[in-house]
Amino acid sequence: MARIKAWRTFAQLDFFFFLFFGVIMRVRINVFVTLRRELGWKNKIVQIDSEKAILFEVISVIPELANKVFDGDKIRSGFIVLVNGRNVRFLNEGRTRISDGDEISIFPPAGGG
Amino acid sequence: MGKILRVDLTSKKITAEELPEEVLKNWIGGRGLGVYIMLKEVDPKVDPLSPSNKAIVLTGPLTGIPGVPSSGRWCSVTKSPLTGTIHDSHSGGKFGPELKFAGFDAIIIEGASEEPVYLWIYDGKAEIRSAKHLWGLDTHATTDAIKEELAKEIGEDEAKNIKVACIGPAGENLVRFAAIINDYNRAAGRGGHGAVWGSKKLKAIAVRGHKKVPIANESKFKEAVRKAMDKIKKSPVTSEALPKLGTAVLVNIINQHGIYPTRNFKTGVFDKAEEQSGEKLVETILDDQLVKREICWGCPIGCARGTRIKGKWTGEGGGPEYETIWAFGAQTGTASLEAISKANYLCNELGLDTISTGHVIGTLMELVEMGKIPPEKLRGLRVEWGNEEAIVELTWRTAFRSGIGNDIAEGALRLAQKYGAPEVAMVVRGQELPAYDPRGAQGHGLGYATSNRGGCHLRAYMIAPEVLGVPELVDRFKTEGKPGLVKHFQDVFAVIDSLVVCKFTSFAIWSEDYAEMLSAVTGWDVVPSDIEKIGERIWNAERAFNILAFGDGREFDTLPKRLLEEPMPEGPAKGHVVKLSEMLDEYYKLRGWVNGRPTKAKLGELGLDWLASRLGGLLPS
Repeated sequence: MARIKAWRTFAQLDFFFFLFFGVIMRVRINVFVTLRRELGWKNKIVQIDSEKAILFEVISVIPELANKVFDGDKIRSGFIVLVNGRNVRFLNEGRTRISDGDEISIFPPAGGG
Repeated sequence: MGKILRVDLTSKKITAEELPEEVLKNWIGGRGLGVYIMLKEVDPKVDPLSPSNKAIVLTGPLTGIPGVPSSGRWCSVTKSPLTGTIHDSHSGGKFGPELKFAGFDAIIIEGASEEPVYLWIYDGKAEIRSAKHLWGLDTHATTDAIKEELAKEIGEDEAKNIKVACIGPAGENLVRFAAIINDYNRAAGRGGHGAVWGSKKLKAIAVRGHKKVPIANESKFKEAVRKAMDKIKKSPVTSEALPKLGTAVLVNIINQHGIYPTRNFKTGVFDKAEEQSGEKLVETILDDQLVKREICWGCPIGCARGTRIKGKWTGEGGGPEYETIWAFGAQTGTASLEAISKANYLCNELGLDTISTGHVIGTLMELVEMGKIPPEKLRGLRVEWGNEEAIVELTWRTAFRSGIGNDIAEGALRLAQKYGAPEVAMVVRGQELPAYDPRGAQGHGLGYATSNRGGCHLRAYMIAPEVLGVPELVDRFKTEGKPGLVKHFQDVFAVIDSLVVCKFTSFAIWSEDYAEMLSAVTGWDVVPSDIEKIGERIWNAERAFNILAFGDGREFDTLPKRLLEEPMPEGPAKGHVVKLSEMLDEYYKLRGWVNGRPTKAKLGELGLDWLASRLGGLLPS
């Protein structure tokens, strides 16, 4: 019973949140390699008050990250940006559609073997 | 150039020879020259562990020349006891340049000694010495003992600079993937070249010299090197990522792409990858002093790792590299970077290839899970996914062929065959596959399948274009255009291996740069198209050796069933298999091959008529 009650409370909260603020989207951003030291974090959840957004808008929520990844609205050469494991160069680059629950992973140019 | 030392271990006779310039122009050095010598001097059907096989140690024309980026490597060529194919294995460190300074470009070791011996080469002179007192020692103890003993003859200061390549107990015990270890922690790892040395009772080669490598055209050379170095400094891969994070930078990249082979290639996503990533390694076990010791001669990139571990597992040493982290990590389901490093140190000290050792332990874990291994064989050890005790213990057991280690020592294919489940052997031509699941990188799959030395990521490193975007990003899930890319990479890489320069330079420079440096050093007039032609010649010669050895052809150009038929179960590559059949025919067409074998016309075009007549009826009509 307690669990159902808790769920109801949560659902009501979300409903009121929706009434006041509209739809909210949560996206996880992971950064790797030297970006971690430069930015001082490994991952962040970004919230956007919209049901749809493009990659450029989502990354721009964190300006210091956007400056590193984008040159204007173009992804810098050699950067690997994945949305759910798919390189955005095969999606729609900076205009790739991002949805609630998506995971974005960003790597500066790297190699090995 | 072209000075060869020939050492007959049966008769104990040593001779020096010069190779004609024409041979060098066609085969360059390193891998190419080794393949040529093997074809000319060894029956491809030879038992790899018999005295009739030869062990060839080679440098290249650019080895040991100050200024040439990453030219501190050396290469071993032989017929592999793991694969039965022609095989070249490469190593960094400082041994290669020192051999050149001692006055030789290559050493051909033939026959076999009755008693353990080592070879000592000092400023153009060579002698065979007893190694009875060294037999049984690990690679570190062997290296130290040789330096101490020679110090009495040449003085301590001089002896400090001796470079030693040797085998450990694994090579002596003929483990089919025993490595040759030089400079303590650098390995010519793949293919069991250490076992070939072991079968010849060759414990070590020690070298020291003072000669300078001559350069034909100094001003052209300076210009070529300046251009190459500029590109290496400008590339973020060679100037930033590799120096700072080493090859382990790939752990997160490959896992995030869903192609980090986990638990013997059952899936491509490892939930504990972050714990063994390059980023984590730098934060925890990296030791700056040890890194400096490990960096290869003349290398502006300096990707080497030196680490120290404390706690449950203790020790220090070279590594772990990306491939090692994967083999002992995700392949066995193990998270701990400390346990992985411990297994890595043991491989260096006992003389084992880390890729095959970790890989085969993963194969054993799957066989145990399937109930194929009688419990008494395991002597109470819990051989289960993720058990770090198991990976460390099975490593030393493999080197000594102790208990179940005796089966591991035979490689994944023979192990899986013995226990009735050959389908779990993730091998190509008998060599264990490395750290990329090709279901999410189609071209890389074609590269594995067609590799002349068996499962290998470095014949055609399609991960560069398919994942890393070097030189340009291509769609990893598509097959279109991949055969051409694979062929191009295979041919150019064959030449990089023959120049004996590190492949990591290829993240920044390519055919034209290699051609310019080679021309300046040798005085030849080499253009980029020559590089590709020479590479193609080497590739075809290797295939010819394999055809003569075991009838190589289409039936061997394949992948384990799991990768061809079982879709990736989860992650970004979910649902994909390798669509090999979509690529193979086009690959053959581009190569001028029919069913995995070159035509007579193709061999003629490459100046290999002598091989065509030897192959005779084995060639397609």
